[in-house]
Amino acid sequence: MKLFKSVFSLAICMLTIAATSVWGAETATISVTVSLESVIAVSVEPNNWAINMITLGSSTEPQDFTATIGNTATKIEIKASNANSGWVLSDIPAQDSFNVSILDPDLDLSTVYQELGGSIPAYGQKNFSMVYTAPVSDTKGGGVDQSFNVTLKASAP
Amino acid sequence: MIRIILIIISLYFTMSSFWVESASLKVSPAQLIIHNVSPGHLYNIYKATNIRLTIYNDESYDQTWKLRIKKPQDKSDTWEKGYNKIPDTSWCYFESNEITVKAKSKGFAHMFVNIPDEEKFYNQHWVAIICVDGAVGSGISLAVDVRVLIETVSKASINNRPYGLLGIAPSMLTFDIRVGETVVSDVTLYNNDANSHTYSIHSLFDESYEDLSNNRNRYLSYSYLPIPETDWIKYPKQFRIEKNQIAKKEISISIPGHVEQPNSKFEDILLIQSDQATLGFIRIRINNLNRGE
Repeated sequence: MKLFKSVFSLAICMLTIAATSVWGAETATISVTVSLESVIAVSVEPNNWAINMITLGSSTEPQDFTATIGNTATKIEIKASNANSGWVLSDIPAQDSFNVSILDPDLDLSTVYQELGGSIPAYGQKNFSMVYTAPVSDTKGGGVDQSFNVTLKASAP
Repeated sequence: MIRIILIIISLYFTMSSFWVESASLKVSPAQLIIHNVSPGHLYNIYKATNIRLTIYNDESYDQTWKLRIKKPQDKSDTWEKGYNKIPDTSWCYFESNEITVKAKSKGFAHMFVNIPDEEKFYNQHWVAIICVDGAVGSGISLAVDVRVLIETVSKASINNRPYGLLGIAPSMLTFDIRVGETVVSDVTLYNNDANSHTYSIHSLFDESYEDLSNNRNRYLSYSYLPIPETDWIKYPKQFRIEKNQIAKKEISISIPGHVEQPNSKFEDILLIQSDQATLGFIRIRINNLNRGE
């Protein structure tokens, strides 16, 4: 009798587990479709910009860059950061505010991405020139690091 | 006195401690669709599908990249119409948020997807963006966005309203149909908004719908071709659903007597727009045109 009770209890227990799993989340087999354009790529040349010495309120000569994309049409966007020691990126140079502009398309860089090229054809290039304009006045003092970052981003258009 | 302060600013590529002439970033795949994701299940995408993110380093120095998942931004990001922003980016993640790729080599990042176990998350079409970018610092750096389109399991029979302003159940219809046959299915649409709306449906592959002419193939599942004739499928073109109400709509498909490539599998995407925006779509799959022959 004891053995019967044990087997009966075990059967009830297993049925309960089975019923529970029926009501749990359904697990399906997933699949992935990858895009026909399997690679997205961007390169930039040169990858450095030495601005060197500049007086307050003045601008650099345009520096040329070339962005090259990979085997698929690509959108290129660009943004810049504020400077490391307190200068702020701005549309208009001011006290402690500097400007970075692009000549074609006519853009003042900001800290959010802006379009540099909407749909550059596969293996295409985007040439652009950047100009740096220093703040008109400064409260941070000389000799501090006011370098900043420019980022080029590639994505599917 | 004219005050002149000389400043020296040098921008160097952040990934490199030495002067180099170019920088590059190459990522594969450029975009992916993950189909049939079950809420309540943790997926290691690489183990389940053999797909992982590959980052190539063609440069002669090591490069370190950061990985993160974000929602697309309305103002700056573009993505496939009908996909909605994933509600919570923490549902997708990588085993590590940073990867260092050796010079002239490639590295791999494995993605995981874990949608909460709630019935409302079935029948969803979501988009998330994988951001691959360099460390924050000074210099000229590169970044790549890879769109991830996530489609949860399509389910006709549900007890709760699907998530989103417009719920669609099922979100995918599969027709196993022979040439000459007509098959009919129902789709339930849930207006989850506090306002009533007029909705319209049109096929993504309708030639008159040129808005997406360059991007249509990005919607197609692996091994499926675009539907040859969009008039195979009949559906209501326009209708109204009152606020917080549901509507059942009939979708029928008839395959004419002659079909080019009869052994192929076809897909159509029925985009559903409200009077305000594109809110979703129904994926239509057509299989086995020559079944039984």
